[in-house]
Amino acid sequence: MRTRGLCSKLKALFTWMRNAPLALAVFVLPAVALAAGGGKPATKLVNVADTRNLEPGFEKFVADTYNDNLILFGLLVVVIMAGMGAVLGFTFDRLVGLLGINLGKLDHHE
Amino acid sequence: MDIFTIHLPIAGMDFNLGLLLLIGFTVGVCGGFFGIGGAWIVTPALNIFGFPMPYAIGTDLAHMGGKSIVSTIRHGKFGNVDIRLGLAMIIGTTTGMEFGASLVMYLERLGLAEDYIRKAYVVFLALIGSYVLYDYLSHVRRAKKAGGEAPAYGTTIAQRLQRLRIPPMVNFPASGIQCSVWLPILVGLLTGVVASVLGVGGGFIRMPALIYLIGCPTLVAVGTDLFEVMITGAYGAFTYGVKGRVDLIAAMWMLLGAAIGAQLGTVAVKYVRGYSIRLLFAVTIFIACISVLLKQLALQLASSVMILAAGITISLVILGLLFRGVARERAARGGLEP
Repeated sequence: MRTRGLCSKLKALFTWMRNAPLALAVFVLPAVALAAGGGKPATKLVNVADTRNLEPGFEKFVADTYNDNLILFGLLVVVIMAGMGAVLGFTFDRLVGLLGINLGKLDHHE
Repeated sequence: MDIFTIHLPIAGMDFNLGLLLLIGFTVGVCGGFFGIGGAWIVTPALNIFGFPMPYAIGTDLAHMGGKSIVSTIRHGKFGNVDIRLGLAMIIGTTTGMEFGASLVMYLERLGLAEDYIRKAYVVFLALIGSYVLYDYLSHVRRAKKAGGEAPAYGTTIAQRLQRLRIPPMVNFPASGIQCSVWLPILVGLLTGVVASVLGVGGGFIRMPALIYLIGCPTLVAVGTDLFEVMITGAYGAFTYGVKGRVDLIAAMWMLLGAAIGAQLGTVAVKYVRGYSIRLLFAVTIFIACISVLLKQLALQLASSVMILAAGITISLVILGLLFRGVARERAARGGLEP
């Protein structure tokens, strides 16, 4: 009887030890992230991207499009986001299917 | 500048890459599960970490469109997307979003955008969270009284609205409802204005609206809302892009994290009942509300830690439900094998 009680206490302790780092991470991660990227909200509201220090490449192309033609930039945003979304969506959908989960239609029970 | 810091030429700042991926992943899990865009995390989080509010709104809307495609593909295969209903709502939503975007630009010119948007956030989050929680508690009480499955209430608001015979009447078979086409259009218009002003895809308003005003089952509301978020996100990305308020590089990195999270969050709905989603949704809304309120009270650090902690906690709960469900499914399948 006492051994069983001891076992359940040890089990509870191990559960606590397993979950404690997770709980700690939930609060520490945002704080670390804040330290890494935090700061007072910026105030930039001028529609000009600084391209002086940018190497030729995708970032420069995006910044130049932003500076030259905002309608084209708006279209570029939509096309890139939709394209990335579709490619990533089908790729990850295929990957989840490989995990052997039944991904058929669901019943709509409340 | 370390390897985890990237330069964002449009927002004019350096930003931590891990933070962008973390925000994206967290919001992806929550978005796929609740059928929301997740701007309640992204917009304040980006703003707190240095993005001016209009850039935070635009960048959020841009990645939201891409992320919702990921979730909509999966929800569509689950049979949770009512495309006909979604298309009817889009007419109202896009009109409403244009009104809302003009209003934001007007408030920005007056220098009132940040303050007004944050106050409106608090009010809406509190109202919606309270109603969803009240509905969940009523459901639990009725289920206890009945000793199992809760019986349906008398007449819901949605049923009353469905009875309004304003032609043309339309059938929405995927949702199992028939109503005037004007109902989804007007609900879309209302949620579109609010969504655009608050800088969100509208999910946290439209998901409950689909359940309580139109009468969809919870899972169909989640899937159809994501279909809507996908289109309004794309439209919002374009309007904010044209106004020069989107940082495309930041949006792309966030989308990468969000795509992984969205897939996991969407598959998790398979393992929970509709009312469990509503309860978690209400809790999430309240946490978001408190964090925005803290920011309004100038408690910046507490607000930022809370919003990310809440997002990560809710994501972990959802991932926990997913892994538990997968383990049970596998065990059940193993038990059936000879």
